[in-house]
Amino acid sequence: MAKLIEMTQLSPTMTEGTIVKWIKKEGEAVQAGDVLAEVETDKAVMEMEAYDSGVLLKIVEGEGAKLKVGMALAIIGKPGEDITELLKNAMSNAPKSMTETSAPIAPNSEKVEIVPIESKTQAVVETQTIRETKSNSLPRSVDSENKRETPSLESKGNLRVLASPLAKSIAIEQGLDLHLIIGTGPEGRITKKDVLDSLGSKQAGKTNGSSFNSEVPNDEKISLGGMRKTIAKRLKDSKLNLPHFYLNADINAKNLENFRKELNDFREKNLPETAPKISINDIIVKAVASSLRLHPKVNASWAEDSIIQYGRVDVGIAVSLDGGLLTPVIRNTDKKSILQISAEVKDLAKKARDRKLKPEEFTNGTFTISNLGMYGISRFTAIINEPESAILAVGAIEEKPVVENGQVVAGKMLSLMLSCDHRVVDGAIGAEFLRTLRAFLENPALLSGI
Amino acid sequence: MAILTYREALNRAMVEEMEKDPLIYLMGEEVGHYQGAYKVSQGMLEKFGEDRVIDTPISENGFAGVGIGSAMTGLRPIIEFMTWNFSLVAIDQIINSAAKLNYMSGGQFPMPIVFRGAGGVGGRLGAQHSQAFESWYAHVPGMKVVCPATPKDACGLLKTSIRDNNPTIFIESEVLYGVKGEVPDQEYSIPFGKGEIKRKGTDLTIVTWSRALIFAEEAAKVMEKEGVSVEIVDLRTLRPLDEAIIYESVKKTNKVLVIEEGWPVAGFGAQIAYLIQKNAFDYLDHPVERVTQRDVPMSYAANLERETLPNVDRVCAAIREMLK
Repeated sequence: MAKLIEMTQLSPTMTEGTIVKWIKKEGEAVQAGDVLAEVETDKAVMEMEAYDSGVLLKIVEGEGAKLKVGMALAIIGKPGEDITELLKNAMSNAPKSMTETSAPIAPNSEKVEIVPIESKTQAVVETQTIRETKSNSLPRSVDSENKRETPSLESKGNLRVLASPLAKSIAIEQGLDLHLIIGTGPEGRITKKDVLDSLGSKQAGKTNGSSFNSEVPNDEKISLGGMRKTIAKRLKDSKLNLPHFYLNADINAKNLENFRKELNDFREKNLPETAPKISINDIIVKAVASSLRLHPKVNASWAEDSIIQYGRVDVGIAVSLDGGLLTPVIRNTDKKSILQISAEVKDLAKKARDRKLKPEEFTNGTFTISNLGMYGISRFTAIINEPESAILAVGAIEEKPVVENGQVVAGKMLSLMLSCDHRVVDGAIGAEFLRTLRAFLENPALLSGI
Repeated sequence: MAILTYREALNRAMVEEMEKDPLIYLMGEEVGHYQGAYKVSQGMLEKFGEDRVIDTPISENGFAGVGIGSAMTGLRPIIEFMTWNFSLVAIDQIINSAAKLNYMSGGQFPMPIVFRGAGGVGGRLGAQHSQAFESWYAHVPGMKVVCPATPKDACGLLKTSIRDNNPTIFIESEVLYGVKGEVPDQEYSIPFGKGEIKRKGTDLTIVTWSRALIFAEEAAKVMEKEGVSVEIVDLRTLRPLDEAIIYESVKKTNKVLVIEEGWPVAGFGAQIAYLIQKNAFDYLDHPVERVTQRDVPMSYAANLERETLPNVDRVCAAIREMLK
């Protein structure tokens, strides 16, 4: 007998979901456990599985529809079954969804829509743990209201963690999962001491490791913070799904070093003390942005049924933090001066290290630069930061023999490695981009003319 | 440094200021010939004469109003209430005139007046004469509220109150008048809105003012023997309030206990607890707790009076509970 399929509660806090994509088509056979559709919850895009087997007879709610948990979104049954009665039920059950549901998205706006949805999801995933813990600190009245609206929450297993505000903020800072910490405060509340104890036992383990004790230190299980989980998921997805290829260019960095020195000399003599000191990286950021402006094909995203070339040039910079990394984004990088870029990079990097970056400050970049030069790394390959299509890995400037006018002389070389998503960027396109970038870096004066 | 009693420190502040400024005068019941009900104005009549140290009939509403009127004409009165319990019959003058006239006249009538006198529980004076009213007055915009706990603070803050061009509610404590403490020899004053760390500690912060500081200090000594390090923040003035000193201490100890001599409901400690959760939420490792006077009229019986006040035992019990 045909059955209504309802919006399933996919996370303990989910009260409604948006259908992002139907995986099964009308008329397709469905086994219990098959993924029916992708649904965006309050936290992430998740897969909604079928609980029944049969044929997907009717899709009641299309992509983009926002439904409360329990509302009908499809009908599964035997082929040819009469579903008019069920359909009527579904419609009368879902008056709200009908009014709230936007009409199926027009095909021409679809291309534009996909990117914001994806990037929004990332921002949501990034902040997931923070939000989870924050929700614990909601005032009691709000909490009880929630409970009244969705009584099933309690029966689904109480995920609320009792912890003091301070314990929560330390846990977030240190990337600890409060669920794994045993509270010893009143009513089992996790206090500062409990978090520090749990942290301390880890650090104590580290000290053992570095001492000359002949005993082998115990293995350590490090629980995953939200940032670690996000890095793991996003980089794995990128490396598995994006056809990476790599282009290497060694740049003669003599002029680049001189240019930096001249800029800093000028700064010292003419600019207020507050003006930032220019680094090689600041100039590279500017050169990359100017190159992207000239090579929009590299400044693009794969969107399954199309490629999106961005009008804006927003370059992200990988910043390493204790326990992870973030890529704060310089907006409209190509329109900013090296000095502006330098100031902004310093400001954003500090915010990143202080964990004060807002999601809008580290999402929606169009290209990323990762620089390990300060660690003395000669060259390396980086994983593309989805949904971008390329990332530039910057090594250290090293003294090397260089041929100048037929003579081998001591020179300074900088190795760049561009990782490209071959679906978007072909070899020749990436190479042209690097050629422009080389021109800028070997003759930095050109930057002022572009 | 001289060792003065709290009452001598107050006397010194008034005398020093009155010597400098002939516009200042003291008025109230028994302030002159009797030398003050609590002897705070000892010797002042002799020094300044009846024009500047004025005995009044038992008529708080009347002499509070006269003081306010004289302040409007440019004098700088110090109005003594024998105790703050009697200010209740003058409260219309204080709140509807003193606190409002500068505002309602568009700044034409500054109100450089000090209302001062004994507040809080004196010791077996019964329900009508054993009340801490600082929370009432702190509720009203337009006035300063000052609650010193030591001779040094009493002198320095009374001088600031006399010099201030706004009405000041200066609440002394009946049981503190005889308490001795060091007072700087040279002239000094203490600004409004500046609390003081009366004791440094690391495990828990007590925020308090006026007489409750004594309970806090005794409790801190008891807790020290139990290995607990208590920090004590003395606010000294409730309006303006030194919020920064509170947050700094919260950031250090992560636990706050507010002790106040008044009743719990809508007491000033509730405002402090609100401010802490609002502005230092992420530094709290325990809910803000309070020890106040119990929510009953004060008993005449000595044992019940002791038990009703935020005494040392109650404070220590609260600290132990918070650190359990």
